[in-house]
Amino acid sequence: MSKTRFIAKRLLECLVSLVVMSFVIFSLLYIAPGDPARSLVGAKKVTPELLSKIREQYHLDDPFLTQYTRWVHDAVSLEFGNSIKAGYPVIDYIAPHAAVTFQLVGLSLLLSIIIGVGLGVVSARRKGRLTDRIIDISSIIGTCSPSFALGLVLLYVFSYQFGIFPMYGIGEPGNLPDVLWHLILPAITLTVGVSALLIKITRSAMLKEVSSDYAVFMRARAIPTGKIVFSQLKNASAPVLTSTGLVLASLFGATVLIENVFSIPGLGVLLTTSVTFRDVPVVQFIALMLGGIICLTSAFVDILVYFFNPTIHRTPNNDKKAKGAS
Amino acid sequence: MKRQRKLLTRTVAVIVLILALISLSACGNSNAPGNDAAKEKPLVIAVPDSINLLEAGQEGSVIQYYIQQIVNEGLVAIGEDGKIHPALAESWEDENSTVWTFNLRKDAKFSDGSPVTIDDIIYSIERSADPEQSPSIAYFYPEGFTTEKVDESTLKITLPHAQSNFIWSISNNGGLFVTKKEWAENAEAIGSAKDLLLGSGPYKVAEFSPGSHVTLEASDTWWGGTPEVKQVRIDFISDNQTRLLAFKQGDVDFAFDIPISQIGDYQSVNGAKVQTYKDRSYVGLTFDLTVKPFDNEHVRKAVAYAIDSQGIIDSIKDGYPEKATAFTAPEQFATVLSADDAREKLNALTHYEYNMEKAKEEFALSGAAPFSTTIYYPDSNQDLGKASLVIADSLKEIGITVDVQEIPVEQWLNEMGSGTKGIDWMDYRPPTLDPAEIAIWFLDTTGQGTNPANWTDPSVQPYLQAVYEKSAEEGLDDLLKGIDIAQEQAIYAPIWWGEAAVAYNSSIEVDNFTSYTFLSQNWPKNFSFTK
Amino acid sequence: MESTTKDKKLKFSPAKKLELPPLRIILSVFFLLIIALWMAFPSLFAPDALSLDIHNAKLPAGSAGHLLGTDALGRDVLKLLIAGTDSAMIGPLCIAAGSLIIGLVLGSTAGWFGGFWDKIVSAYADLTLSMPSMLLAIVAAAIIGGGYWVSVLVMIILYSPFDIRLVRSAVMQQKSKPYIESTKMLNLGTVNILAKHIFPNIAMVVLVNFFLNIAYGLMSMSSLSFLGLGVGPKEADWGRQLSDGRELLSQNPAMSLSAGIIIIVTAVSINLIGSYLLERGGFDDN
Repeated sequence: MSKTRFIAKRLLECLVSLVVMSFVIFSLLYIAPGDPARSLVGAKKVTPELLSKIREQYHLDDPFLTQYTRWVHDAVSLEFGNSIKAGYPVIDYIAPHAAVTFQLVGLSLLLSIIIGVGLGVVSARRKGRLTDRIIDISSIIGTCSPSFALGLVLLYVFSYQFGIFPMYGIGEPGNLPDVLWHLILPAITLTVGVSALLIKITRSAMLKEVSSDYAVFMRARAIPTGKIVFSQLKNASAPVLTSTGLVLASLFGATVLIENVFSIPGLGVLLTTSVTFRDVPVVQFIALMLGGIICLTSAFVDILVYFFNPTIHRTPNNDKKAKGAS
Repeated sequence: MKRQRKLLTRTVAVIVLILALISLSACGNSNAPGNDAAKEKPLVIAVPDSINLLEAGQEGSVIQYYIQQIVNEGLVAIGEDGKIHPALAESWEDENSTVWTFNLRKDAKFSDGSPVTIDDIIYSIERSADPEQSPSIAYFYPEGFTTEKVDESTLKITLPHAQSNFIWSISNNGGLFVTKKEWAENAEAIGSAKDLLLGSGPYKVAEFSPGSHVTLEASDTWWGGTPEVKQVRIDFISDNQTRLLAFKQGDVDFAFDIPISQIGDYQSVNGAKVQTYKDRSYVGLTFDLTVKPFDNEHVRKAVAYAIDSQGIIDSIKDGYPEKATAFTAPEQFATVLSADDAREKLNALTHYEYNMEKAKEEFALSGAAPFSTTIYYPDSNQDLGKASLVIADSLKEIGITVDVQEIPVEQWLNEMGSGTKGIDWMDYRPPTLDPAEIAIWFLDTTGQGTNPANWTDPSVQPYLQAVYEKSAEEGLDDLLKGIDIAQEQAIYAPIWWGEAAVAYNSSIEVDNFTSYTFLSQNWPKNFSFTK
Repeated sequence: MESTTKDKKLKFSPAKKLELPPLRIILSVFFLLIIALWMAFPSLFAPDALSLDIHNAKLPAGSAGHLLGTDALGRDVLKLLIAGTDSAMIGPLCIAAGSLIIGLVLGSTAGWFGGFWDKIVSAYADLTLSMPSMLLAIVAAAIIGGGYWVSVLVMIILYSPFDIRLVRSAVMQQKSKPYIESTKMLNLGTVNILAKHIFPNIAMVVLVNFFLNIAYGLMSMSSLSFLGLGVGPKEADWGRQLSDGRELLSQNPAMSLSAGIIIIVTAVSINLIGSYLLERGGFDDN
């Protein structure tokens, strides 16, 4: 397969999955009980005429396919409509929340890679030793703790008892260091859930390299360990890289629960409220944006790996689980 | 081996370094705003909600009202006493509750310094009455009302029919938030972070971070004088546990509407005070008469008798709310009666006290066979789920099998009065202090209400008509009579009148916190910092 | 992952079969047996767990007759915990079983027949994998109204691609081996070859994955319960108990704590057994 074909194929896959996803979500929201117009008005006395006027504004009475094609038509021209709940353009509505979630997920992706790869290397090098077992057991416990409960425990210990981290919120908007400072504890909570995956992948990839001919050769030539580890890590990086998509997916998934606990106004909280409100334009946009990011990241990483080593096709290695992170 | 350890140390060092860098930069920066704030420490209020839009007209949550109430004024406002006070209108009068004339205040100014004109007010009324721009408050305005500019300071509003409670529609507790026409027409999204709010009230919005917090600053253009409390920050903390920890930590001065179950935790905080107040909400059951066998009066009475209201209140709400004897709380009558007088009158209305013997008798009288039904409750109020289980437990005894199901609050709203649920919850805190608000909504059959029980009784409508035409004082007896007829037939089974709790720490003082404090036109004035 | 050097050595010794598993595995199995008993006979271990007693609500742990106290409706927390095993474990078991079945059927047929069918199945797996699963589960569960079984169904769909890919690649690997080629020549039926020659070879991997799916299912379901999208208030359920107990943290912390601990211990036990099996089956580091 030529490089261009490979790239084209990966991107096409992305596009198809986004279209299917948008259709599934749109139809789910369509068949769901509840009427956003009624939700806007709330538990108040209201006439049917008034309700139907509100419904008209958002074309809620149109048949399903008309609604969906209108949405697709608008989406293609980058027009995503108004949020029903807030009454103004979806992009403006989502932007501040998206910024928070991206910072949170970015921070914890960074932490996950540092911790996951670091501990993975350590445990591969100390295979079978106590260190390896401790890392293994603690990563299992980490994956098996519900993240919302873990978040609450961390909040209690580090923010309340020791007063190290802020209790809630995102600090002063626009002040990036302050915002990141507020996001550290939530990011750590997220990291605990996903780093086990990275530890496992790094460890097994490293183990293969450790026993490889060149490593044996390098050791025989008394080349410094640091250099050996570095070259092993370089060679082992492909499976670690390809798992980034999965790590991102699980980070975005777990963020919903974390945001609730730490009162962070991110996409997760916005998505849950929008879903129950049936705020279709918002739910669609968030789902597609996140789906797109995850999809494109894995495509990008695959392409990257493919370029460096075209003989590696997507190995079943990247099928390892990330879903337990929630 | 040593080298391996070196690698490990290096990795750890890198992590520590990154963390240290982030925290250093954070500390360096968090000092700067700290210095600024030292001049004027904001009053920090934590609310259990998450607001993404400041404008109440779109969605109309309680917190949105409380925020917008001190930024945008209406023609009238409520005082801490629960009475109606002048706001942008200095005085007003009505002819037969149909033609309303308002004499406008001449010294009112928006926070940008420009004067409030009659055109701004008319524009704001029209905006509020438009269901597309203000879906949640448009119902305050009857179809076919007209506004007329008599002169620069006289506004006349003509209604299509008598409506004595229209005064609430043009208050900022109900359906009017006056903003500047020129500004609003150019704004893309009023109340968003992009276009904050522009009003003539005591405060202006200094900064808004959707879903996180909003900072309000005293406006120096308010006709009532510049408020004492210079800065109010409202933090949105939806998670109750997190909010409690934040309060314990001292990050929050005042926690609004804390869960009853956490009162003890808040009290245990050093120097903290917890105060409960009647929040005027009504919680009870509605029977839909179009669903069999609830068309049978005896079945409804049997269910009403089987509700152990006090037991529910004691176990689920730690005894805090008051057992309800009518579907409007006594404090809702503040404009016409003291709460105690109102309570006395409401307790005299027909209602059914918990009595399993009578429940069984009524069920036998009904001639209905044992049946099963489902009680749905909104996911937004878990206490209703627990109360449903208690009610289901009692109903089992008289031969009614009840399944309890949780549904999203949106679905619950949607299906209210839809003829699909025989028994349904009602949980409502009226935004205004109109004593007839719930009664009209529950009982009117002419289109002014929605009548969730689908109940029609020709004997009720004349009383409501009297309520529309007479002033609140004069129409009081008619209102009570209407409520009594409905309750006598057990159309609604009241359970409790809500009691909410607030907590504040020793850094602030709150004078006289009442049911009306947060409704009043400059509510921050009740707060002061202790030295 | 638990391969000590000692274990590795044992692998090649004939005494391997007689070796007792490590203590943590014995403990895990023992713990899961208790859980299984609770699941099988809830009314034996926790009779009337759901009966209300509103006059004895919110009792702290250690109260007379209530070792772990009572909840807001006066139900005994210990009994609730035992009775909740059912709803906490049935969902994850169904998720694991459902995705296993889908994985076996779709994965093996796709791997065996290849071609267009393989393309379709792979596309389905890729598609589902590229979606933020937890978010989709929340969307679906919230839309369709907080139903327990809706969540389970969604999870099955979202978990199945892992099984599909696992089985598919295993089948493809085995397919190309000479012995399968020869059975093909012998003209044995497809189902026959799959069942007799291929499945036994992948059984261990699939079983381990089944175990891990239960653990992850438990996490996911309790997360949904935390968001109020799981079971209703009248059922006992660990996830629900964990999140409901948060409001009683000061009156009866045992309610949340016990549920949280039992979720973690169960999931860890299943995980440990899973990796132990993986290691014994010689699939370590693969």
